[in-house]
Amino acid sequence: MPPKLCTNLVLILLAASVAAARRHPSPANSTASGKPVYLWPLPKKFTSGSRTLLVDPDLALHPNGPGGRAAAVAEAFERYRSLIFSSWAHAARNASGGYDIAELTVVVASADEKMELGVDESYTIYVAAAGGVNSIVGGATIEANTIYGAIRGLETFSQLCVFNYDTKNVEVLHAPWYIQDEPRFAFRGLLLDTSRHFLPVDVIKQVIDSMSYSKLNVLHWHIIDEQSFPLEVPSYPNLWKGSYSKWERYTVEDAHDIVSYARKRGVHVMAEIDVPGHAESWGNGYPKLWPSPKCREPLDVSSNYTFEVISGILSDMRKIFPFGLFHLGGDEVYTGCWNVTPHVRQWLDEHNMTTKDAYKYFVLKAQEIAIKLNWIPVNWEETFNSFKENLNPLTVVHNWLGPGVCPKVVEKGFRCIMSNQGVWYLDHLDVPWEDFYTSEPLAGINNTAQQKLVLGGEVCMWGETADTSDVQQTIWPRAAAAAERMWSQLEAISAQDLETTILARLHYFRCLLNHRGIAAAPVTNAYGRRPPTGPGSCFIQ
Amino acid sequence: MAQVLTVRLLLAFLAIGSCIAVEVTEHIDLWPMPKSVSHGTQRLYVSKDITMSMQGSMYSDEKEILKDAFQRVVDLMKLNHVVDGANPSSSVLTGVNIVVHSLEDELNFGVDESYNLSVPTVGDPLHAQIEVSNLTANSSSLQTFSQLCYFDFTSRLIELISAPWKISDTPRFPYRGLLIDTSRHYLPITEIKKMIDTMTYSKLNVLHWHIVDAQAFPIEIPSYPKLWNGSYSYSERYTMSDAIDIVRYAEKRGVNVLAEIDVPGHALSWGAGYPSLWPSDSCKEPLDVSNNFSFGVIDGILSDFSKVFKFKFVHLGGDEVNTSCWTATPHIKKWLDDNHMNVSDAYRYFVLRSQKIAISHGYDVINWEETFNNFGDKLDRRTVVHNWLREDVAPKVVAAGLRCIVSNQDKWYLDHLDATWEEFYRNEPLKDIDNPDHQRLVIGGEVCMFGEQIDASDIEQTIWPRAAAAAGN
Repeated sequence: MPPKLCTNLVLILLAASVAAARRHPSPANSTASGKPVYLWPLPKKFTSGSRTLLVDPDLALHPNGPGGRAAAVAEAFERYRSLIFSSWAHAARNASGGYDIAELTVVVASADEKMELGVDESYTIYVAAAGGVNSIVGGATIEANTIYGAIRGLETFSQLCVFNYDTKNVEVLHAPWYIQDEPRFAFRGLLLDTSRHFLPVDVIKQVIDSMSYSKLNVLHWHIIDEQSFPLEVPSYPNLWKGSYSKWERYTVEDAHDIVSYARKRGVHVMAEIDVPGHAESWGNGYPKLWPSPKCREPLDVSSNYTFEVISGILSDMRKIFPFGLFHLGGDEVYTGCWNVTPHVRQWLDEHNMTTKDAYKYFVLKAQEIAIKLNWIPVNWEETFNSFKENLNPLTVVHNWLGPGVCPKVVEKGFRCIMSNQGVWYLDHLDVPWEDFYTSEPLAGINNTAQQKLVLGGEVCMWGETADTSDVQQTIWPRAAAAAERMWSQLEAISAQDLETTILARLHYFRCLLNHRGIAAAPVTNAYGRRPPTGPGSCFIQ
Repeated sequence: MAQVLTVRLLLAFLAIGSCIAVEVTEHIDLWPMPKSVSHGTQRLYVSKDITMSMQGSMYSDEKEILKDAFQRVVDLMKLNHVVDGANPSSSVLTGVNIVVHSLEDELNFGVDESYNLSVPTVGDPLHAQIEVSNLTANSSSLQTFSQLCYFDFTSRLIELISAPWKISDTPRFPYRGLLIDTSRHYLPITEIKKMIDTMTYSKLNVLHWHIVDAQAFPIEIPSYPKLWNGSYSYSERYTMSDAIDIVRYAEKRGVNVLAEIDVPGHALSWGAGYPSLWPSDSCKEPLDVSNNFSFGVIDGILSDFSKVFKFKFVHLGGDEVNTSCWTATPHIKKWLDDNHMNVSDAYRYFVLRSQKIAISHGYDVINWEETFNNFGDKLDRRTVVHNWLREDVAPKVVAAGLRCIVSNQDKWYLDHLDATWEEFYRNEPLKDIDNPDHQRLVIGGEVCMFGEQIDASDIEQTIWPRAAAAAGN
């Protein structure tokens, strides 16, 4: 059967069963075999059948190919096996026959473990019974070019496995499966803000785990801002005196730990040092960085010392953050303090600069430091809006102010990341999941060469009003909606219906997140992170 | 210039130094506060490879319960930072010696939970000493020990400040509970296990699992396999193995699991699988008192429970029984008349008959306070009355010679978001109870996280920190 027809049939099946799911599910309709299988985000191509296969709780990894034996693959397999088989309690041994799937073969073509933006994340999954139609061998296979593709494949495979409450076995329904998948955009980000509220390392790790469940792959770590400076900087050890308290800090080793944890899950960490605005906290340890004790932002542009400190920070960070992109901020720069502080005013006059010139000077000078350290600078869009002609051509422009920015950015030949605050700011609780889902990074860009300059997008979890107690339910499930927009193919997601098929799948994914210990909020509340309004099933709230 | 700078630095140093000294001596950041605490001013470093020993113990730890508990606490201390400072040459705490006097390796309720914890500053090697009469108390002692330890950002090591410590502690009440409700919203097992872990941080020791209610019946009952057709959906369920898993998980952490099946009210969901339990198709609560089948099902449930829930108590509910469906349904009305009962009699009859079934399976029964308020003198004498309605009930219960658990809803209901932590803290289970014999009958208290308006996304922050305030009491 042609794949497309199969896909459509599966979608029809989903649509039909969703109608049932949206009502209070009937208890009589409680058999495993009728249930549809929901995958999130939607893979590029997939076909399925009608058989049910049993999965062995002692599922073994059979690595293959030059990259199959990588430690990261074995570790990822162990993690996913735990997720699929939540302890001995769930899966009883199948006394009679054997298991259809006792082995998961993972074939990785390349042994190269370099993880850069744009690394090949494609994978293929085959699941079939031995001797069945469309299969040569029984069991399950994941094939990928890189270990990161294999990790993405493991996530999808884990979503194929469901627990049968009657037989107490884990099963793959609707086999045989053939899935071929790869992301639409290479940059699928989530911003986490640890300045407005300190987030313990363990919480950051949980966020990274949850990202990997929806295939988000860049953690944009907005480490520092006005309110606090929590990270250790060995070159300038007083900087973290700007932390909220002596316990709300990250050591250099903690940062390494986070990067390494993320890497194992195929997640890049893009660090941000926002300059020259949003930097008041720097002066707690080094008051010279403030224009004056009474006027503390932006950083003092007139002083070489400022750039020495930036250089020290970046050098220290180069040893921690291997990702090719580094974010230098540059947003919301209110230059009033430069004007009113005498020595800065004098410096501006001497250099024949307006404050706007000085802003440009600051950003470009910081960019040079990053570029010398072999980084590609990312800057918030005000830098582009204010002085695009002078912006370093390597710059990736990060849109946030509103819609319609990336088209202008790519027209000028710059790369772009979309985070339009009207639709992708998670701290905007009034933005519903539908808006997260339907926002299109390529909106208004028709030229294919220019489309390629859009690296992807990012949802932003600003921390002013979110802390450890509620950050995860503010992020999820709305971030998942955007995650599918960034991963899945445009045609496939446009073909689905928001309020039936997509909603059912998102409901299912939200409940899956809860099962995996991620505090994803109810889907259908009017506002983000609100509690459920009354008793009810996870699948309809 | 340099001299002035030096003086300034010196002054600053002294100022900072005295600040640290002040921090060290003024704050004892332990929660709950142990019964008696004394400490010093010295700093010890906790060895990265801190070990546990059991010299002087009667208990042998064959099942490695103690070893696992110790490792969990060590992992917890190291959770949020990489501990890689240089090994210091002195003042290193290398081990914790735990003396357990009893041979028993099972979790027991109502036993002596007192412990002594001492951390000396002299000795080679230097080790902390914990002494408990039985294994059940070790969880509390290890939690207190973990709260003495901090990650230090300068040394990059775990440190134990303000040594030497001498702590002697025992709980005021043996029953320190948290209720979770998996009927109004299904809670994934990962979440329930998280609740169990967090309970131990503030030394709560009974997880009151309000499993089933009107809205959903999520648990597997092998004797009556259609009961869980009343679950919200196919996958919002717990198998018996899941329940065993939860009980074992709790046991290792010193937490008892109190299972509740609330009868005869709050039981609408039972009829999804067995409609004959409903008075009628249009009147579905309470359970049909006239039908022996109702008690057959209760017997089946309790029989299955007895294989899984090993805590000596089971909770049979009995609250908020609206009997109008009994009088409105013809066959039940007839049964009442035939048996010369009014609805109050029938309510009493239902509760007492259910109690007998539970007792036959080896349980002591806990019931919500309406049972006491309506027919307290008829309750089985071993009944524990669970107060929830108001704060003036406990004195009456204990005056009648029955045991009591306090959960007055105005102060200790966590779903009442307007109850502040101060109110949680100040709520006193022994209020207006002066007679020591009566006081002994108050076995403890419980904070209740009813689930109508919380689910897995926000249960943790609804429970904490207010539950800790109550735990501190």
